[in-house]
Amino acid sequence: MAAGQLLARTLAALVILTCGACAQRDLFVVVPDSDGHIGSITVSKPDGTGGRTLNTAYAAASASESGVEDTEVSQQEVETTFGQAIAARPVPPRKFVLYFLSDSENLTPDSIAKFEEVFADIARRPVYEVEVVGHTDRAAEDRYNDPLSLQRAERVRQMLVDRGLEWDHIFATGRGERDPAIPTDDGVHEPLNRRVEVDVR
Amino acid sequence: MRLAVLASTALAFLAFAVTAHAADPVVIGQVKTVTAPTHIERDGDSLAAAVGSAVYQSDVIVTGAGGSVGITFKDNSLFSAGPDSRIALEQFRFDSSKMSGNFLASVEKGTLSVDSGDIARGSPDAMKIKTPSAILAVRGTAFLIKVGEN
Repeated sequence: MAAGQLLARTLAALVILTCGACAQRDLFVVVPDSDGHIGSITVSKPDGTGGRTLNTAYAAASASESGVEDTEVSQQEVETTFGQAIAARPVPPRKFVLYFLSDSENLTPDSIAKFEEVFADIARRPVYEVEVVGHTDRAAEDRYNDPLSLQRAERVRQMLVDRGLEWDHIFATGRGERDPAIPTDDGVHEPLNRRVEVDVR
Repeated sequence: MRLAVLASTALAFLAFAVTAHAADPVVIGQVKTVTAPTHIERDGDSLAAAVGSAVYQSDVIVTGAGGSVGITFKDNSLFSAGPDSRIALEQFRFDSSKMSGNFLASVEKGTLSVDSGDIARGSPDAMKIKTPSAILAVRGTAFLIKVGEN
């Protein structure tokens, strides 16, 4: 009798232990990004059904074998659980735009000042990749604008290298007049289209 | 005879295609922060991760006790993993001129912080993350995942 009880208790304990160890429960929490923006995630079962959409700060869901359900987490729990992952976040990427004088690979005076900001942003990163994409307005032909857009990108790359940054971490390409910031008719001069976009990450 | 020539041409082409693929793997991201022990599993090897290490499609990112790692991808999405994590970068394709592509990762264990990038601005199916119990569709946001919470 006593032995039977002991066995039953042991079995019960085993069942609890086993389930405790095998219960797969995944946790998902939406947080604001580095700009404070919040989008959404939809959490579904592995077969894509039973989805729940989270789209507010610290909205949370948990998923297990039985499906996906809403849950709550405190900011304190988030810090305890995810502190080390959050601390390992890379410096967020940044985009800059520099403008050029007409038919020229020289920056406008405002953009010469802005260049300092670009350089400072790259220089503070422990490791960096920079993409410089040159553009023109639609004032000339493609066969003229394609090389001009690349020369603009190469000029900015050279300015960064002259300040001590590494050539092979900076990539320069030209897109001619194909991606205007401001759409215009062909042949139109547009200062906002004479630019390089600098993508720093 | 003609068939043999055709077959050998096809074989040569296949060999070239395979070699070209193997010789030219596309870098999809870069390690920006790291605390040891953190490794990258690639083609059966386990390489210690360092700041500046390149990351490729099909890499598996593994952190041990006390380890962590931060990666920035070509579409400007950010991943950072806490200790005892294992994350497989199953698929990553990004066309920077069209600003679109697709991204599929699998968090097998541990914790991961994600800040989505240009790929997740596209269709809701463009960026997906799997865990043992769920699949996520991502639309332009930051979020956190913990796998195996009891």
